[in-house]
Amino acid sequence: MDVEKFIENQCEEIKHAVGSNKALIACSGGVDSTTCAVLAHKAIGDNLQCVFIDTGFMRLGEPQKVKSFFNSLGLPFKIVDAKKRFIDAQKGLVDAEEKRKNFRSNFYDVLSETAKVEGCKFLVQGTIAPDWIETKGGIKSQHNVLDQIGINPVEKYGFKVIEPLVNLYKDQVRGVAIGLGIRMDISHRQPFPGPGLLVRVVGEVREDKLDIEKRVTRIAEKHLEGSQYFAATMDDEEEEVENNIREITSEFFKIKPDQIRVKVLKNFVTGVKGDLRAYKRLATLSVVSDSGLFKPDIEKLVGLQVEIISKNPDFTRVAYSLTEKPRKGIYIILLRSVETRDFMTANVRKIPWEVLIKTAEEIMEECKEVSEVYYDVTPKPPATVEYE
Amino acid sequence: MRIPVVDVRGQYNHLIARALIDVDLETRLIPISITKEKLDQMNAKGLVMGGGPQRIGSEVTKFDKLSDVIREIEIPILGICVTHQLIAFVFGGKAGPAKSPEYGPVRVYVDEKDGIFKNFEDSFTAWETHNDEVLELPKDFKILAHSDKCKVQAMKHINRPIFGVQFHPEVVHTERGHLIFKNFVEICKE
Repeated sequence: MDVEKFIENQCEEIKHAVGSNKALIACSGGVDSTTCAVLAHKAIGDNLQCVFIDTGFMRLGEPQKVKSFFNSLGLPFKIVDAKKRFIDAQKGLVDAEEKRKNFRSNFYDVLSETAKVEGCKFLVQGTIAPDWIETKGGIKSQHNVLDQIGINPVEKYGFKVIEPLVNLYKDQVRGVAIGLGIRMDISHRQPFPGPGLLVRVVGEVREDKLDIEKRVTRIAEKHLEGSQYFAATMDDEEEEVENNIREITSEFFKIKPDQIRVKVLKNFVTGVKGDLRAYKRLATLSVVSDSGLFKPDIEKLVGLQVEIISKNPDFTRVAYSLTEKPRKGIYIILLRSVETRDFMTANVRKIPWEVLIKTAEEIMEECKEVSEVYYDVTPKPPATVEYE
Repeated sequence: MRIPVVDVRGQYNHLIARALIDVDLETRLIPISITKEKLDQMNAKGLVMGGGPQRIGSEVTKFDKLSDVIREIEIPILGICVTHQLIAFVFGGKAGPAKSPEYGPVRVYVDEKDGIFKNFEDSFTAWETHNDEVLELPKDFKILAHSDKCKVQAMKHINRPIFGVQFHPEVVHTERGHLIFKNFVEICKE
């Protein structure tokens, strides 16, 4: 890909489309929207207004961090506080797609109102190829896709949409970011989902659950690494679902069945099997022998996961316990780290056991509501990178 | 060189176009409603067909006229995932639900290191995502590769340049996946 030519062409197109009008762009501080903002600013200067929508689903301290970065870039920047609106709207929702669609509708309502106040007739957005591919394919509804699924933004929200990065993948966007002179710590920042921690608080969102998620996010990001790495929070509620996971594990590792504990959680998680959405079960697996926690190679655990999912069609993910002695609690934490170029497929990162254990111990220490910590050993496919 | 990619609405169809452009080719995604006449008009030298969510057994009508295109055209064809199964179906084989569906990494063993598998090792890790598979090889086809759970990972017509692969050469996690496209482009040049 010829980055210089791409930047030149896109600048021309944006200039041509917007003319002397004003355009709005929603910036989360992530790679895509930041790259898009710098690109659009290069094209139309201060006729671009950047806005950070504080949904309440951001990392701790994120709004201030993004603000100071945009100020350093010299881009017109505002924060819109919509925390209460977003969380109130989520009340009672459990299904992942309902949560995502509810988020999307609030997101564009806020943008529409902001665009009117700012007098913007255009919305520039950093939508990239996987966003519309997954949304159109019915795998999951990304928050930044309208035109491609037949929603007319002019009619519904009062602005035209411009998407300069729509045919690119994450690695190509990073290339454009470098071409635009964006700092490496931003251009190579790990991706963060549009709906933020909302999709990492699996199932119903409650204030205390979101608070735990913010705390474990900080711990996970401190210790883990990879193309993307984070923690997710699930309700520690079990459900009886017929499966042969214990037998498969026993056979796979030649371990006595009584050392293996399998727990199926009530919360559903998102996956993709054969180009179809698979909103199915997560199996948590724990193996503790006389000598303590059984710690096989991560690659072996991925291999075991292949066997389990292939023979249990109701399941889409397997997570392996990092806690030797679980305790009574209301939440389960999942650690996830993947390796990928373009996020269309992703492999499980081989994080060293001592790092996983240390991270899990710190979470157990700091969050008393957590009963157990797991490492997700499922690639994409059959899982997706995020849980919802 | 013009080798269009039929968008069958799978997750990786757009990545196929990216992979083909990477081997220095002018390519583009074309809709599933493509016909032989349109391919002639654009002077296509080969045809790649992507994967999709359709099921061969019950939803074969969802491929529009693609079955006719496969039957009628004489340029080289490469079908991936569900269109690999569609090729089998069109030529009289059988495709349907796999006993052991495969998702993510799978070891694939190459039985014939020629054609699209030129310069491949004896085996490699491929990434898969399929609920269905080729259950019965069509007459006039031979197997080029297999895995422990799926016997037709790749196949070829014995007289014509028609290829099918069950795995996804277009995703970055498939080892040497792009070599499949490079080899296919060479075949299209012949």
